[in-house]
Amino acid sequence: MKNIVTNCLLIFGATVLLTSCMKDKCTRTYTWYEPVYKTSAEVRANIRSNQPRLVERPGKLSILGKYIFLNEVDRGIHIIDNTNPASPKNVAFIDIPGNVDVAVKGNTLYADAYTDLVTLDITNPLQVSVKKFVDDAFPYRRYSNGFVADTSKIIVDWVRKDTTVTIDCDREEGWFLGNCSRCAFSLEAASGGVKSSSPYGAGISGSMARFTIMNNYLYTVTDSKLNVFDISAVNDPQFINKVDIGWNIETIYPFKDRLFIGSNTGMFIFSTTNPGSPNMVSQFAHARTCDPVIAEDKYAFVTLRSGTTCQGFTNQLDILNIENLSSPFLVKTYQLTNPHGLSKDGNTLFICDGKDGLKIYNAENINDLRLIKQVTNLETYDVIAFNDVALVVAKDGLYQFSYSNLNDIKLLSRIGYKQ
Amino acid sequence: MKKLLQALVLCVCVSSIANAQQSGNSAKKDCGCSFSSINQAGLLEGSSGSAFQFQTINGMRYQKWFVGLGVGLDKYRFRTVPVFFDIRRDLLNKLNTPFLYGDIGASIPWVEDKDKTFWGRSEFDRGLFYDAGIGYKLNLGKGRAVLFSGGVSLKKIRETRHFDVACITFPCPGQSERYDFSLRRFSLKAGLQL
Repeated sequence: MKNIVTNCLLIFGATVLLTSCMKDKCTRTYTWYEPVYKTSAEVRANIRSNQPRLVERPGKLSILGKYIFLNEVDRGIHIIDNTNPASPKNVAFIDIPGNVDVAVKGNTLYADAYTDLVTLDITNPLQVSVKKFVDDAFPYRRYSNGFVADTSKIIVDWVRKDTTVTIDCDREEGWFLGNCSRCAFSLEAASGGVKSSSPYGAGISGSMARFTIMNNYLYTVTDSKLNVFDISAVNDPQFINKVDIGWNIETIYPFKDRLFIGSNTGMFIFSTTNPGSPNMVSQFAHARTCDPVIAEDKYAFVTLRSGTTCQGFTNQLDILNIENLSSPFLVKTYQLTNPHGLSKDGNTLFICDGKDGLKIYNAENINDLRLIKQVTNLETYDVIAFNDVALVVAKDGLYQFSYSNLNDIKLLSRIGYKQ
Repeated sequence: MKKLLQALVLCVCVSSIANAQQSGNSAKKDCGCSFSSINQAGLLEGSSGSAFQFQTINGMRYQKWFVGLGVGLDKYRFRTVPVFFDIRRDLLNKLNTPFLYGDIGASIPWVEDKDKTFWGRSEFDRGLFYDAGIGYKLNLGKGRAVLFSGGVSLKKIRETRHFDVACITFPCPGQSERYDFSLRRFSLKAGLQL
């Protein structure tokens, strides 16, 4: 018995002594991006038509005439000659660091460049020239991926760095947000979308646009505000007003004298009877989701989708009656998989349904949408349907489909992205 | 510290051998294999604190040897289910005897929500599990015994945290981070062998 006790004591002793040297080891492996700076003067001097580049990370889209202006998130704008949709040509690239939004009117293009609004003359897309900078038009863009913009230096690129560090094994160490601010390009941007035609002499943008032009006004939305610029002198935009809307604003879409603004929690309708000072007419609340919106005379079409960023669990198309602008009401809901951007041309409705591809409906009777065709094997995000050609932003490229014959919708071309 | 460990193991062995010499040849001889089940519970002690563990190991006993497959519950740092191969050998031909054991296998994650990231989505992957040490067996008769053991245990587990960065351009850029945990602890167990 004595020996048993001895052995047990020895085991116990070993336990106690070894505890001090039994140390957990934890590592964290992450990627971060280090900014590459240029001086403000260097950046501004390079905002012009440069050599075309491969599309890498497309953002918003605007089309005007035979040209497609495609945002490369945070880097600039591709100019694509779409004279022949079956054979589009990438003809130039405008370097605009910090660019995510674009709007076009006549021969003038408006784009954000981090905090500034830049006005470009695009009379000759191969010889674009800067007409004006409006400094600090978008102060919320001062913060980019955790870096604060500087008036003298501008981030023009990011260098990827992979690293593994030993961390304290306590749960609080190394948590994401501590360094996420140093990750990747991100935060804002959007891709093209809707509007079958623009009566304002402006380019056609998408249902996910955050810039839009109506007559002599450029309207831009931030997370919480609607900014108004007077562009009656097209090359000399003047900031004239800022309207508080509420939080989580996502998109803006013009129709007649109304602005339809999509937010995470609902759709707002603003009247532009007084265009310099738009006022809210009504709102339609919905579950917390992402919701691009398009509208026409009687109806507004809102796609609601869920996802970690968007939150919520709703994936559907809501059709609202907006004949009485002050009290829009829900007419019909259609269940979808993960709808993103949408577009409507006449009675033909195009919906990007994520991994379910592009869905094309006959929307003559909004109470009975009929699926004409579903283009599968595409992960689609946004679409602009105009002039019998549907421009579709997908995960692996920019596609163009001809729908001049709805019974025979054909792929015209695809611009692939740089892998 | 390695020398200290070696010294301690040596002490236990020497002590046990001495015990064997004093007790004489009272061990009951096994003459064939038989099914045996070991069920034990205990503590895991390391720099992340103390945690409960439980194991059930079932296998064959042959003379001084036992081999089996085990499964358990390990709540050290993350809740995991160790699935492992176990081998152990009595050091003496006696009813009461020290023994050596070794386990090797995988830690299957069964992580509680509280241990997952709040900001994104956690995915856990299984990792190596081992436990090796020494113990003492107190025979209760009829093939039953009480076991006490202490050893060094390691479990590895990998967590990948996925975060979606808010954006309205698609696809939104994802962000992932990988965390590798090598959790070294001391393993104290007591149990019953049937």
